[in-house]
Amino acid sequence: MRSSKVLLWFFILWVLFVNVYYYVNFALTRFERLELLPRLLLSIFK
Amino acid sequence: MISISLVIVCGGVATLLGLRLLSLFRTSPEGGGRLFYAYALGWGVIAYLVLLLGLFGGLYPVSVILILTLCFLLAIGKLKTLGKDLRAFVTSLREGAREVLPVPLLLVTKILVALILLVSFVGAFAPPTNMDALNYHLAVPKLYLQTYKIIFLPTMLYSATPFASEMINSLFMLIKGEVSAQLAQHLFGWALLFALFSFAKSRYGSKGGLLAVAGFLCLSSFIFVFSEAKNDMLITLFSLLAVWSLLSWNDSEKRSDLALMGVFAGLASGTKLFGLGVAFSLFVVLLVLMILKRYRLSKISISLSVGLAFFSLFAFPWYLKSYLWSGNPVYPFFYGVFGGAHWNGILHYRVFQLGREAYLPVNFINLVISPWLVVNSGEIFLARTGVVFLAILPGLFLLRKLPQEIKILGWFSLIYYLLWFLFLRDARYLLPIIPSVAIICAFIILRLEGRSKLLKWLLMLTIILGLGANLLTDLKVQLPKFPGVFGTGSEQEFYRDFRETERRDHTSGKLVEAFPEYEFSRKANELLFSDSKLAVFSLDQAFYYYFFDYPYILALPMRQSLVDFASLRNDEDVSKRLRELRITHIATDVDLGGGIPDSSLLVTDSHFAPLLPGVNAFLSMLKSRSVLIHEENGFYLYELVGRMQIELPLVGTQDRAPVLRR
Repeated sequence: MRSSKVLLWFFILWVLFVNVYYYVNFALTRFERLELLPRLLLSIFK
Repeated sequence: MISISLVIVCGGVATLLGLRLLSLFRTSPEGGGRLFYAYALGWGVIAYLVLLLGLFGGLYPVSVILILTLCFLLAIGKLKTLGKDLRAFVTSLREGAREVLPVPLLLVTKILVALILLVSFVGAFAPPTNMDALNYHLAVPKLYLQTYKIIFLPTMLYSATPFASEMINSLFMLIKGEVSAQLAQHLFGWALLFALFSFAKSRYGSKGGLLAVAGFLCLSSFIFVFSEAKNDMLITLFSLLAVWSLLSWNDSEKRSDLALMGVFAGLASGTKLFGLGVAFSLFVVLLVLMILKRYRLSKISISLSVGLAFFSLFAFPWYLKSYLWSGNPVYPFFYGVFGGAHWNGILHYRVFQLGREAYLPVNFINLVISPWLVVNSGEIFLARTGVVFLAILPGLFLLRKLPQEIKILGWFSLIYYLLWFLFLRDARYLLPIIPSVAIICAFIILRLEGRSKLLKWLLMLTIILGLGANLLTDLKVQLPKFPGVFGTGSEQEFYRDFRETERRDHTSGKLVEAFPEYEFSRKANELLFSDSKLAVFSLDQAFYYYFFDYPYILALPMRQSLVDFASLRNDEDVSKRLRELRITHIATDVDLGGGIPDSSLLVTDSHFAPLLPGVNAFLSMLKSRSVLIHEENGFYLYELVGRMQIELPLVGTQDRAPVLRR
């Protein structure tokens, strides 16, 4: 029972970690593109 | 409106035909699946009919309409069944909607799915803009239609490969135009999503169905192909139905289900070469299942033979065609094993080895870490997948006693993944297993959500974030197409104003004119004669040639050998070869005054040294034996002098000999 709880917490941490890593990494590697964001938003709502 | 109506009517005829054929199998696919089985099977058979028609030179609108009418008449008795299945499907969707409405997280998921579907649907009405679609999924059918015949086009890299999807493109281009072809491919995507919903719902309820579809739509690379005239949707639909048939067989042990598995695995292999990987993975799982069920050897042989016979029937004709045309059943791949007409080691190196050097090397450690890399270093795999599957799949380790269908889906996906890692390593080619993986993810969420509220929220948040990110991507891809959809300008204006990231440097994010060759091609079409034939000459990858309305070959030194640059030595050789091929005009993006740029592979990679004299001879021939008749946006149209009725003076821009810098 205890081991399954530990596994569950490991899984919770895994899901948290991969999500945070993915989106932070994605934003950082495309940092130079962030300047395009206002233009993209404008084009959406124009 | 006419295009979508046409696609729906033809889809109706295909479904009726499919229902008629399904009745021959004496099996009724479970969980409302019959509608999708029939739709896919009908289209698979119609694709073969178009192929037959084309091989006999009968690609005329009237013959295609006649075939569709005959199919309709043949299957008219199934109209009632079609109506019944459609009503059952709509009811099932309504039930699903009602079931998820009260749950806020599911409601958000559903809204995001609906928005992605809506935005992609609108985008599918725009004139085609995708590079692959324009350069072969639509370009090859357009060349077929010019001669009303399906022939081997040795300079079009993939014209000998399985082309079920392109046959359907040909059919719609013949009746209406390329937008209807694009819509047909887009609707295969809808059929795939609805089939996935029905499949998952039949096992895990409406919530499972919605989660599977949502998980699937989190695949980033799907968003880029969903609205395009590409074959990814069709092969994924066929693959899903093949897997579904395997699961049905596992429950019923009826041979008719095995036959259907063979049919859909065959159709997947007849759509794209890597469909063979889908078929291989399914048959391996089938064999293991039969051993686990303690079948006798004779029973295993008979069952396997049934599946393989139907697989061969539906896949084999494409490979036979390729073999008869080129001597290689999987042309232009595996040149080292099979060889192939109009192909050689230099071209094989350029097309299949040079690019792959940038891929991840094949070794065990890379295989183990590849699920992480395919998500977080998508550029190595030429596409992004999104984080959803990597985040959720390890949840399997928390579950005990997995149902057998999940094990089957898992093993099928794993075997295909291994093949993919060994031979393909392009993230987009994972598509055939993504429906199975999405079902496994849905199952994990459903089983784990009761264990911890925090985990439930996290898993749903993962899906919602994935969908949200893909909705933004979808808006970014589709919004620029909207002027072409809502008719705010002509097609000419649409292509002139369309902007996209730099073609050969996607990472820069810099937006440039997407189709600089569009106006040039239009003008060329006006200047050419009814008997004109073009050779498109470029130093490596050609520009968009789809817009030419006249027959053409691609005289690309590093991508074909119909014009064999390794054997050309002087102007006369080049001129003679072009005369043999009845070429009258050359379209090129090479500036004769500039010579070969230093950046060209021809100059920088020693593998291509044998081609250089031929390239030089070609440029020299252009200078001495042709006339520049049009120049626009960096593209040039030359008329070969021998073609002219009267001798014209050479245009003054060609006063410098091409210079080769090495």
